[in-house]
Formats: sequence, structure tokens, C-alpha cells
Amino acid sequence: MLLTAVAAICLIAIVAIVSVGVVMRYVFGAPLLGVNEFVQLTAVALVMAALPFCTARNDHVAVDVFDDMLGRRGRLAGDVISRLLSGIMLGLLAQRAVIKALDAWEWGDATNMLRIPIWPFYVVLAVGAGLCVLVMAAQLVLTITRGGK
Amino acid sequence: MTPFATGVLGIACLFLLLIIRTPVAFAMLIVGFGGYWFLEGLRSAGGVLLTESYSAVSSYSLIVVPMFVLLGNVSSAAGFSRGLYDAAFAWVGRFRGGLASASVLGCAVFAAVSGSSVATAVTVGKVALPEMKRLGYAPGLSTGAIAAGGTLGFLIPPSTGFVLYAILTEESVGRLFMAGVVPGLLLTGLFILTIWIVSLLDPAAGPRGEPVPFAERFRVLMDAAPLLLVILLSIGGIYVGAFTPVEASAVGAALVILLAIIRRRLSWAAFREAVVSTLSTSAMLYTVVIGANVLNPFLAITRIPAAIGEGLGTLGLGAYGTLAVIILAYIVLGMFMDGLSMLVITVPIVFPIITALGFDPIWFGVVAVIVIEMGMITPPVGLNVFVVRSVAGDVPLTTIFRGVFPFLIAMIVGLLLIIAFPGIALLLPDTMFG
Repeated sequence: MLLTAVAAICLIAIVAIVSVGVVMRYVFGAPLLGVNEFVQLTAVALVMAALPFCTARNDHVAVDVFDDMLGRRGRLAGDVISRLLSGIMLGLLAQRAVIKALDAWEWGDATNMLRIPIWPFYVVLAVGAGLCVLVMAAQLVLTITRGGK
Repeated sequence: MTPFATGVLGIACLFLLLIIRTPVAFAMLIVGFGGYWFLEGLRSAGGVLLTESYSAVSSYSLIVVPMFVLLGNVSSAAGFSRGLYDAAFAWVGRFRGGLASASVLGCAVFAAVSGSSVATAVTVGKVALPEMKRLGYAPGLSTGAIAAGGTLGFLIPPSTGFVLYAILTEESVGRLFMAGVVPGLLLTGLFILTIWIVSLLDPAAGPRGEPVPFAERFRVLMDAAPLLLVILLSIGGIYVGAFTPVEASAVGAALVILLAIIRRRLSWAAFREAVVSTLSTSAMLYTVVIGANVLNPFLAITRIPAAIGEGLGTLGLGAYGTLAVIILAYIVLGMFMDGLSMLVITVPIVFPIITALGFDPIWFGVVAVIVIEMGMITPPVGLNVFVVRSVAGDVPLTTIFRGVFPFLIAMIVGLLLIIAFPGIALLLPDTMFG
């Protein structure tokens, strides 16, 4: 719930800052600098905070034409395999993001215009992907104990 | 194993993963990463995974996705679709099949705040289907009109389809949006013509609505005017170069939220629900982009797109023959896959072939989107038809598929016109400013 709130705040913040940027440019003739960077970094937080939630709601698009053909066992096996592989991918992504975050922190990498350090955003990427792995693990356990449907 | 054979195996694995219901985004991620690992080693594969994921989530142009989804969700939650439908009905309701035509018009206008076919069909369907049922419309005509009208959501800007196409092909989102406008209006016109013909042949299918007095017509139109103004401002703003697509989307969302608050149309609970569903949809779409971004470098090193292009070239079909083969392949795929998945999986393979043949990349975006829309209303898997069924409740699927058939013909006519006269799609993007 906390994550959803974070994502929602990021969403509204982007709406607000871009709109304010437009008003500043046309009404006051003073464009806001660095809106792009602000938006890009906020988007990282928005997406990564929303991803575990989206996964928990099973909102990812999948092809379900072959449901009946697979049978009950086929669906169970399919769900287990796809959750396992998807989880591994996100786990790898989280691990890579941690390495990159440490690297960026050590070298003091920052954005061009606003000089914002970028390492926290790789941490956000890692945390979001990591939480998503947890959601998938929970779904995996549930699927196995329920034995598919 | 050669890179090419690895690629073929990779595509086979991709379809296998899709069959066992792996979400499309993750299926692409798994195959792209696995294939890259196999060909270039784990280190490079990990590099691609991280770089492509980060560049997708921190992309500036992709921000139009959550912005426009929010715009559509808030308009729907605030009940603006009702106003649009009423206004459309006031003007065209007295003609043959008037309610169905009003529904299509309502869809077309709602499509201008929504980027999704499903959302358009649901939002307008909830308002229009009960009305048509009340007036005794044939269930086939009423549901067919909504299912077909809903597909306009994917074509009339803002369109999720165009945003994804732009990201995959590095074309301009603004130009693609503009290219969708006239074809969207053309299809709207053809759909209304279809309704008119259907109700001419079977007057009982689409009775006329009661005429609305002139003063009343303007009152309802004025009621819908603020939303029409938002649409005009955001889409017109992109055309005249006053806004970038990102700015247009954010300003549009801000205005619709303000409008809903001023008119006291939006409860806190409804707003929260609109935001929450925006977040989930956005996360889903971003994941799809990440998946496509990881799959594509792998496909590129296998040279599969190039090989398919050369293979098609040696058939000696010429440019339009090859285009016909590609469109047929899309139609067949569209029977089984949903539009979004189809777009992200096929465009990287088909796009180089199309541009090598000398076709305009923006124009092909429009063609691809229309063909994909046709897939949304063809059996056995027509996403829009399923959605309309769930809204209509008691209409059998076969009735809806039969009702949609005349509209499918209208879409084919529209598609042929756009192929014959590319100017229909290209006029606006070629004359836009900025």
C-alpha cells in the first residue's frame, strides 16, 4: 500500500511539474530548466513502485487462448515454470542494478542539468525488481499449494 | 549452433512460453536474455538487461503512457463519456440506426482521451448498450457497433499502439499521433455508413431515435464542450508545435482532473481507483517495453529480420505483394494474439523489411495499427468482442461476431483506401509544425 502511494505521488508530481513547466513557458516566458530530468527520474520511481503491485494484481498481459488445451496439470506446470523464470530474470536485474548503484556511487555519477546523483535510482530499480521477485515467490507458493485451477 | 539457428530456437521458445501463459513481457525478457547469454556470454547479457531496463523506465517520451492512461481513466470515472454520448445522440439520433451511430461517434471522441480499445469499448458500451436495448436494437448491431467503435481507441490519438510503435522504431510520437487522426475519422465515417446500410436493409435492427429539439441539442453540446476543448487543445497543440506529446498528455490530464473537480463529478474513491488502475496499466506497459528492448538486440544479432526480408524479396512479389503477405500474416496472428503483444513482437522483424521496400515508416504505423485492430474483433480471440460481451451480459459471442462482420468489411475498405492513398495518413504529419 505504501508503494502504491509512492507511485501515485510520483504520477501526480509528473502531471504537476510538466503542466507548471508549460504554464511558466507560455504565461511567464520563463521555461523551467531540468523538467526532463526530473520527469525521467520520477518515472523510474513511479514504474518500479507500481511494478510489484501490478504483478500482485496479475495485470500483466498474457495469451490465454490455450487454457483449455493445456489441461489442469499443464496450467499448473506452466504457471510454475513462468513464475520461476520471470522471477529469476527480475532477480538478475536487481543484482545488476545493485552493482551499478555501487559503481555510480563510487564515481559520483550525476545527471547533466540538475547534477542529481543517479545511484539512488538504481537502488530504486533494484528494490522494485526485488519486491517483484518476492510477490512472484508468494504467488508460486500459492499456486503449488492450491494445485492449480 | 549458428546465431541464425539460435534465433529460430529462441522464437520457438518464445511461442512455447506464451502458450504456457507466461506474461508477454516476461516471455520476451527470458528469451532475449537467454539468447544473448548463449551467443555473447553472461556478462553482456546482464549488461543488456540492466541498460535496456533502465533506459525504458527513465525514458522521457514513454511518460506519455501513464499521462494519457490517467487522462482516459479520470474522464471515464468522472462520467464524461455519458455527456459525449448524449451530445452525439442529440445530433445523429434521429437517423436510421441513430443510437448505434451515436455510440460510434461517442467512441471516436472518447478515443481522443483514451489510448486503449478496451477502455473505449467498456466506457461507451456501459452507457450506450442499455439505451440501444431499451429502444429494441438488434443485439448484433448494437454490440457490433461498440466492439468496432472501441477499436478507434487504438487509432485516434492518444494511442498506446502508436507510442509503442514509436519507441520500437524510433519514430516521432507526435507525427504518429497526427497520422492517426484522419484515418480515425475515415473509419468513424465508414462505421456510421455501415450502420446506415445495415438499418436500411433491416429497419427493425436499428430504429430511429426520437428527434431532439434544436435548443436542447446545443445545450447538450455545450455540456460536452469543456472535454472537447481539452481534446482540441492537446491534439491541436501537438499539431501546431505548441506542445510536445509529453506536455500535451500532462496538461490534458491536469485539465481533465481540474474539470472533474470543478464540476463535482469526481469522488475521492473514484479518483483513487482511477489512479491505482493507471499505475497498474503503466507498469504493465513499461514491462512490455523492457521485454521488447531486451528481445530486440538478440534478434538483431541472429539476423532473423534480415533473413526474412531477403526471403520475401526472393519471392519476387514486389513491394505491394510483400505488403499483402505481411498484412495477411498480421490478420492470421491477430486471430490468436492480443494487439499489444503482436505489435511489440512483430514490429522489430517487419519494420526493416517495410522501410527497405521504400514504404513510409509513419504510414506503416497506421496500417499496422488498423490491421491489429481488425484482430481485436475477429474470432476466435477478439479481445474487444469479449469485453463487449462482458458489458452486454446476455448476448452470445456468436451474435456479436456476426454483428461485427459488416464493420470488419468497413475496416478493410478503410485499409485499402489508406494503402491506395497514403496521403490520408500522411497529410497531417507532413504539414505539422515543429
